Amino acid sequence: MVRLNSVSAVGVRERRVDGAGSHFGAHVPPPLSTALNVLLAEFASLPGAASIAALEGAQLLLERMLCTGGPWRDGCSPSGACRFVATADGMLAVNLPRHSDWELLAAWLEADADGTWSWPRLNQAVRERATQSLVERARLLGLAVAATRNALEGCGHSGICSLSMAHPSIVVDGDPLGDCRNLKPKPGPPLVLDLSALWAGPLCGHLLWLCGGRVIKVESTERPDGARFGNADFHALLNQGKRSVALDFGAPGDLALLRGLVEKADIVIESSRPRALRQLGIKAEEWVRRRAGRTWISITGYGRDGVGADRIAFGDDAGVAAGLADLMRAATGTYQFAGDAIADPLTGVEAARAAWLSWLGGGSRLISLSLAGVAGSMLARQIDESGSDALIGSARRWWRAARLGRATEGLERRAPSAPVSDSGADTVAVLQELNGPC
Amino acid sequence: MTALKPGLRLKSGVCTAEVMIVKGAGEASLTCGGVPMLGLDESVDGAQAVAAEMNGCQVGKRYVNDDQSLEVLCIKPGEGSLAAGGAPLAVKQAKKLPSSD
Repeated sequence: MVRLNSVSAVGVRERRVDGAGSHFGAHVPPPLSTALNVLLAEFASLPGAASIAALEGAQLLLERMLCTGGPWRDGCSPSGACRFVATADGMLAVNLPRHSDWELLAAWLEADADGTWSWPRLNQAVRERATQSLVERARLLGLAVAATRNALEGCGHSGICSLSMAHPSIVVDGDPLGDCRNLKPKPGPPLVLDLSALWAGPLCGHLLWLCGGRVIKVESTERPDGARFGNADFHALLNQGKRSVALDFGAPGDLALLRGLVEKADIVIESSRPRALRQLGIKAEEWVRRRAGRTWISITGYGRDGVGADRIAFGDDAGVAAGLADLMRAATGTYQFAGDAIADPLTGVEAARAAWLSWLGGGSRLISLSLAGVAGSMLARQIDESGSDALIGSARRWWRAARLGRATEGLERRAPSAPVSDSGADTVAVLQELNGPC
Repeated sequence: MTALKPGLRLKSGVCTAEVMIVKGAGEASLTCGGVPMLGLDESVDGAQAVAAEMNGCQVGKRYVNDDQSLEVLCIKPGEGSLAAGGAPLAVKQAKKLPSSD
């Protein structure tokens, strides 16, 4: 019998063993926690990244659930916004976190404009329709919709089926990350400009802050990071210690200040569709070449090129696109989400590892990470590591625990160690510091 | 005149623009570059754009009429400006980010 006060010690000791944790009260690791632990260990072994060693994969994967204490519901993402919806020939994950997403449903499903939408009405409207055209129409409308992989296997639709399973971080411009050898600590910390929002990008910035990076979070005054209005504890964890700059991206003066900040940065993190910053005149490809040593981290749903570049994703639907709902079906008999927005924490860690490695290795890289690509690659790594039977078994154990309200049992919630700035609290100070006195 | 229905896709007769109806009922005369927009399977010869209505439309932006009874989403960018019944459509404010995903 495991004593209650030894629960967290057991959790830590067993963290590298995915099948463990069947003792009463011990933590049952969620899917891909082993692969994430391996990734964290790789990251922590880099010069200057020792603080990463204190992190645990399961804890990062379920960090938002640890903060919200939200319950597990079968067939529904822990956020409540993403659900499985059956089509005539397959299964979709439909993620509708924004009020405006619901306004687009009539257009997506070519339905009469009248009447309000609900999940039952959505189920009804999708039931008779073909998967592939629904995914395509959702892409055009900017809705986060993904098909389970079985439904699309062999459909020949490039950008949907052909996820990169091998390389989680793709260097679009610059030398391969594998060329970074004989790394030494750098004399000073990098200046990191975090233009991202929600989870994956802010987690990347947070991990770079843990490594000593000087991180500035930049938000649009018109469209601040939506996570500010979500769970405050979770937002505090990911954004602690970052100074906050808020600018009106629509005003020419502020846009010039934004461009000036971008020019000063050693590492830029952004999680927008490639066209968004291009429309503001900020071009990643040119930025990387303008001064040696720079690293640009681009986080997208499905990559920067082709039809994928226009397609949005959030962590839950991207995980489904990567095949994780199929894993859960193999484990449980029904389509389930393999965690909470699983592609977000996976991508955040991989992005930070790639950014830190690139910075140590001299920079000059544009690195593209897609939520779906990273999740798919981590799934492939975990299968490689433990075999698919063990993975399916551990996914089943975690799902059973989650259904009993024990998804996060035995995991400790991290506490922030630095304050969080209100949006724009440091705008004047940061601009003065980086541009000199006005 | 076009019978409006959510989800209907229309293309410009004078540029590369394409839109999808997000909201709207009844009929409207939608134009791009001053020339009526076409169904995806339609074509038109020799349409002359109105120079004053070639200020462009941006992909991903939602455009609305004055009383917001009509809303279209630009799904392919082009040089023409969008209008309904002769009145230009205006860009609707960007979607707010969700508080969680």
